[in-house]
Amino acid sequence: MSVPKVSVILPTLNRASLLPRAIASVLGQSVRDLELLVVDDGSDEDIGAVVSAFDDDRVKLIRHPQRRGPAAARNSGLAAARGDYIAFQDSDDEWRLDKLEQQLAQLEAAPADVAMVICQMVRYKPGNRLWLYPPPRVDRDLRHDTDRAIHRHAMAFTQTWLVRRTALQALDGFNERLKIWDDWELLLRISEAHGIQFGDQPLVVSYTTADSVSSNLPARASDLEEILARHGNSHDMAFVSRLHYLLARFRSLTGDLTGARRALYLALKERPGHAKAWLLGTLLLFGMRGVRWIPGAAEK
Amino acid sequence: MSTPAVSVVLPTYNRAPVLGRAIRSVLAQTFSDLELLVVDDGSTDETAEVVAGFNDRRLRYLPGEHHGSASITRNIGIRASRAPLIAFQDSDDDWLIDKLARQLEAMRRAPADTVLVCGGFIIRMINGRVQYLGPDERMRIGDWGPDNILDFCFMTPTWLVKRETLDAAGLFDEAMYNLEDWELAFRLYHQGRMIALPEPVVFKNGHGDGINFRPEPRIDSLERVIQRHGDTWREHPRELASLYEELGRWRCRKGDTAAGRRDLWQALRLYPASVKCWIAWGASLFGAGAYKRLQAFWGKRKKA
Repeated sequence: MSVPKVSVILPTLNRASLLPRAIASVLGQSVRDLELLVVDDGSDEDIGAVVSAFDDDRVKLIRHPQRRGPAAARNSGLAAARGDYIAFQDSDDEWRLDKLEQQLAQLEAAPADVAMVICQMVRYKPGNRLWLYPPPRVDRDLRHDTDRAIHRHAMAFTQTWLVRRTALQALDGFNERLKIWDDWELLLRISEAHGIQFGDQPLVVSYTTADSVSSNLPARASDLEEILARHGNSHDMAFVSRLHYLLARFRSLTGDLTGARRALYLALKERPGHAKAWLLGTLLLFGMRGVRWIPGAAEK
Repeated sequence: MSTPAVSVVLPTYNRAPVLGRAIRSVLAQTFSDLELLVVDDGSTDETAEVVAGFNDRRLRYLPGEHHGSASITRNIGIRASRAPLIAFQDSDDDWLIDKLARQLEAMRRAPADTVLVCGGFIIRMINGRVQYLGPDERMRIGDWGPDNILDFCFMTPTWLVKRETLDAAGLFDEAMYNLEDWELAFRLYHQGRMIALPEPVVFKNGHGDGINFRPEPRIDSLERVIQRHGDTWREHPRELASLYEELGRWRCRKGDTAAGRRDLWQALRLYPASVKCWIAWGASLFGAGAYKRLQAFWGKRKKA
């Protein structure tokens, strides 16, 4: 059987009622030469029935008997993917029907060192509110210096990516020990080795049912520890300092003030002029009373 | 071939570069029992080739000579359609992939006298910003007044309407080149219940140009709407006033300040509380030049 041009990986945990929209928007692409790998991460619902209802031999189902998390699900898809290019879809989103066509055109026209293109995304929230990714402040940074912006803003959405498969496989895929920032962390590794271009058209429409993602502070703290283990030696001192600062902030919010102060010390060691770190340090002088003043909202 | 459940009418004129995307978003709908009538208003570009590139039995191509009127073109499509329900698509828009499925479900659950379901847009402006335009959460079902039709951007690509209702109300007014869907909406309003899906169903790519920004068609259309449907707003003087106000402003902008001032005065008689209207009326006393300068100044202040 011939190799498809694009492999699309769609991890899902239940969401059987939303899946048809996500799948239809992949199968309906103007670019027909693709395979769609739906990875069922141990769902209770019958994902197989949803997939077979499409009667399209470009769709394949991969099943995890046990739940392993979205990073592992995407890695399973990557292992099975055969296409030259990789894209991702989320079970509650839809792609505009020329997404692959536009992204392929952009990537194929880009210089050889560019291995990835990222499109914009519109997120629709109940109450008729729209949120555009990248948001204006991030977008300004991206236009100025893409790599630095990627390091600065802990925000990544795999459903906006189109990547050369060879580039992803050389990097061993997603870090399965990360619970929240596995996508951003992979983006960091990609940007270390390859060029990345952003597009200026929203090609993905995303829907959220809840108003906010749960902040899950302990997971964020442990993610940052893991990210620091891998990226703590980066030459970009502002970036490393920021990682320590974020870790300090999340540790403070979970009540681990000693750990927070330790991380703050490291943040200031990397970058003595880090104003926010000094500010946080000042707040922590007041112990838990100071913690109440810390902005609790995470970046994502 | 059996009758489809929905007929989709897509008028087009010289939009070959984007037409394919509009067609694809209809043919790829999760609800597939439809026919798509692409009504060509005498295009001189590669429109025919774009259509021929689709291999789908549900697609019907109706070439024709050029009329320059979306009303005429849409009516040709409506008359040629076979299904009991009609939807519309514009050549430069995308439908979200489950638009028909959601609207059919809404119609199924709505009271039996429902004749039309509409929805909202995600619109991407030229400057890159995105915006939602359409019914909001307060407008779930029923209780529509003519003021609601004015409240939001009520455009044909979001409609799903019963064919028999269109026949009873009359099709698009072929003498109107602008606001023809609005005007038809008022006629449909008298036929039965209209409901709104307060969520996006269409993705629109905004243009800076277009017929909405030229004075003459807008003035003619506003006049016509007021003339035919002024009665409907008897109980909604504020809404009727806003139509007169808009008409007055367009006339002043065009340079016809005497006539514009008459319209603005009519607006103020209906609804004296509009400060903006008083200011516009006052500015019009100083003639067309002054009006334009004041408008430019006001526009700059708002942006700052």
